[in-house]
Amino acid sequence: MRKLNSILKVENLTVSFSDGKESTKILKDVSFSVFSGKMLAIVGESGCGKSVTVHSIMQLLPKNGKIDSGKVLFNDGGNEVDLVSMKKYGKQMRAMRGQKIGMVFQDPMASLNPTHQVGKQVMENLMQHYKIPKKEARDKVIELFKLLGIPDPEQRIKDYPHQFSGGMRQRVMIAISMICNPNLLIADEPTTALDVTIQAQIMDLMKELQEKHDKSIILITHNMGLVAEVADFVAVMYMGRIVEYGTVRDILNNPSHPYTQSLLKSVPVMGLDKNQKLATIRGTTPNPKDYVKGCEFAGRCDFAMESCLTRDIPDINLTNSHQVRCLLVEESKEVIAK
Amino acid sequence: MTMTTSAIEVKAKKTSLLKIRMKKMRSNKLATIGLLVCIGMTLLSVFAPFITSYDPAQMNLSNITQAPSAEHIFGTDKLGRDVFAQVLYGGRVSIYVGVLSALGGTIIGVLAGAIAGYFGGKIDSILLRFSEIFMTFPQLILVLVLVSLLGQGVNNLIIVFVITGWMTTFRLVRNEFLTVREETYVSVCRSFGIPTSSIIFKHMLPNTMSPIIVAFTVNVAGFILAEAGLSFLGLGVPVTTPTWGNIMNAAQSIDVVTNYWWLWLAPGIAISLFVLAINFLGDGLRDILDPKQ
Amino acid sequence: MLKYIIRKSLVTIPMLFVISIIVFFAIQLSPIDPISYSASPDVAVDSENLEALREHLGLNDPLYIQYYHWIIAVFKGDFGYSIITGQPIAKILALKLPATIELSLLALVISTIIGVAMGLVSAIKPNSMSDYFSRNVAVLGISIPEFFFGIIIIQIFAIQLGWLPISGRIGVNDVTFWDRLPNLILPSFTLAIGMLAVLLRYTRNSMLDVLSKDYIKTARSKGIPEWKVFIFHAFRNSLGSILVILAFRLPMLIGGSVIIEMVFMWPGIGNAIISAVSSSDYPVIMITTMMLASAILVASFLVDVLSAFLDPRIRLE
Repeated sequence: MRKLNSILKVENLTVSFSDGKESTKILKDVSFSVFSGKMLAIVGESGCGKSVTVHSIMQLLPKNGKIDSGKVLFNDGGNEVDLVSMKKYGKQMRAMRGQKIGMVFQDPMASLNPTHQVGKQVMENLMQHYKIPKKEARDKVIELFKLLGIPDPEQRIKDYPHQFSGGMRQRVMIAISMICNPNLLIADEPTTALDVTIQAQIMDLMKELQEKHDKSIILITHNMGLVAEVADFVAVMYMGRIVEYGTVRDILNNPSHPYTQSLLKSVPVMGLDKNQKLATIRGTTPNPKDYVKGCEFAGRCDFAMESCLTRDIPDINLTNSHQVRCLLVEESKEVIAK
Repeated sequence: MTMTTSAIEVKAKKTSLLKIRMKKMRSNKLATIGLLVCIGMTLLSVFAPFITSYDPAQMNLSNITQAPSAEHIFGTDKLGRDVFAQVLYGGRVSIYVGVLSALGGTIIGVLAGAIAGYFGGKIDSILLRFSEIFMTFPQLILVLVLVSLLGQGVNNLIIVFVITGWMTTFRLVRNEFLTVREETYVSVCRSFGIPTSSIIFKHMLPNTMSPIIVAFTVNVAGFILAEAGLSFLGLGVPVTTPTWGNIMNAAQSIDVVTNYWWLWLAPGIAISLFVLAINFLGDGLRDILDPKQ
Repeated sequence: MLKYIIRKSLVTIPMLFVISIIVFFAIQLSPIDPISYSASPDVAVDSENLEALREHLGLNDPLYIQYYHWIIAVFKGDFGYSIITGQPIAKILALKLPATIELSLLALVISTIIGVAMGLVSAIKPNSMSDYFSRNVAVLGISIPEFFFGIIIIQIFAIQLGWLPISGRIGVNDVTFWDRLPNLILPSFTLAIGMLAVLLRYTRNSMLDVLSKDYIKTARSKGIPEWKVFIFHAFRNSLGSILVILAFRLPMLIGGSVIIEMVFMWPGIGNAIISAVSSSDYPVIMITTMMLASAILVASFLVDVLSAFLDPRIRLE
């Protein structure tokens, strides 16, 4: 296996949100790496903390969200910097946003400013970070629009978001995130709000950016089928924790956490047995406020034991690329060891 | 059996909602103070005879424009009347006019709004245009015109206020109804053959109650200010009846403004305090009743 | 955009006519003889001529024909005569309107600049001390009666401190705006208070609403400084709805000027209306009211068009 360089290392990230006086832990001890030129997919049900994770990386949490502890180490051309240590809207952090790390949001209509021309919105990012004349900036935007498959870019840069279709808007959004040529791209459910056929186009585009232009991508999704197609690494999140992490092969061929297993059973994935019935996951996601101790999934897990609710659960290395946070695995490993 | 348990559940839910709101109310200090001040000032004017021995209409020409003293704590006016008694008794009419006008305006606004919002179409656009025409006229000038046609008097004033002050509630109820109309439970009601009036009043109206209550408080404040303004101009309640605005009518002369500060300061503070209290209460209610919070 | 303007004027123009019809019939309903305001008093003194004059002026015609003649006359600037002073109403308007416009415009400028600025500062740091202060100023602004506020600042700035004149207006002729400004400051500031409070609250709420939108996050994800996020994205996008509320509240400003003019003895339309109401001079009351309502309607129309122009979704329709 070729040695991979990591572009981003998240270490023990803990984030809490407050409503009034109470504060709730939304992310607990999250750690993972993103490798250069690879795509990491973060999957999980809605509300599991996927979005919060990437918003924490960008320091774009809403006002009531706070990073309690942990590090976000970003490899800035050989220099390792901790994003968490930077001031939220300070110069250092702003130099990262847009220029070194690009971000694509879920709903392309809501994410584009309806009162600005799209060309201007893309140029804004470029001209914030590079002192270049307007004319040159505009040419660069036109060039990028061409690359991203937006037809008639010379004219269209003067148009407003509402004059674009959903798929084209998301291309504009990708243009905004790509215009400064960042090495890391974060895409927060970039296709959820789009039609199925458009979804495929956008995903092909993102895959092309990753493979041809050697970008690292964090893709947030709850679509397991998509993960199987495009991702290199997968992090499965549940209730603010990463419960399983590994290469896409590890996760699909050897899902080891009961949650991952039921997640895979609940969606059709290409290559799986056609006759197999799709399963649902019993129960609903509990309220993060009610958390006491142990494994968050225990209440919905078919294999839960008493110790699942009383012990701290460790991360267990199955192989050097595959980690699971589950006592079942620990026991079976012990059995093997015996 | 299931019906009764669900009914009990609903009841339990309702009381807990009420409890949450009470708790919110108490934690909202400004709203609580506002409520207490409103109640306090209303009680003071209702029980005015027990608080002051002076008759607000009693003239005493040997004792005019006295500065505040132990005898007359707010002083006396140009006819020797006790200003404190006037402010107490004046509150009765001012609050009465404000509350009754707001009540009338709310009733008309709710009825018209419910009809426009529920039925939509032509009747809606007619009522909407109608309200728009009313809203183009500056309210105070419209009131002046109507007062000049109807003549001065407490009841006429209330009628005029109702005529000119139903539009905000109307628009609010109409917009709420337009949204609520699209919700499933309304079409369920309709398909069950529940009569329209019952759908409107028993099912839809309770769901729009919160903004109506808030608008009501805002309207009370507005009408009290409007009455004060008109009476200050000498065109509202006849000068023989004391109201907070009428007492301040004297302050139209610069002589009074310069030399007899107690003639306008006390009633001015009374109006401001009462309206301020209502507005804080209204703001608090807005937060408390908003289900989104 | 043209479509939008046409659609808006299709609402505005009929409204103007409805207002004129209401005013016309209100005058008809009032207990006065139409001849007394239809003809100049010099002509109408001769009682023998009166019947002929009545016929000549078409006052015996059916009402709808009378309305037709009346509205034509109004368009020509002939509004009839005051039944008390016998002055042409057009002359009264020409005399009083500039003073009211001057006062209201200055109040509008003051309230917009201060109200919007305070609303912006509030929205940048919600729940901070300055936000708390601004919000309470806003509640005070809508709670204190304008005339009471006026009396207080007369007492402080004119009587106690003696910095500014107590009341009145200096004529337009021979003096510059700067000479007249001292007389304008107190009344226009008093008139501005209510509008200021409304704009402050609305700007704050509208900014907070826009700041929670996704495109604000997009703007931040580009690494642009916060002040650019506030001005070029959030404020730019709140501007349209702030303008709409401004137009919506114009009647409040004009209505307030009636009372303010009395407090400061400002010789404007409000003054004319009050004296007309006191003397039951119905033609003057109705015509001035109609002119104000029409002015407000036209102003709202213009502001609506302006706010639509700020929104490309409507402009490019």
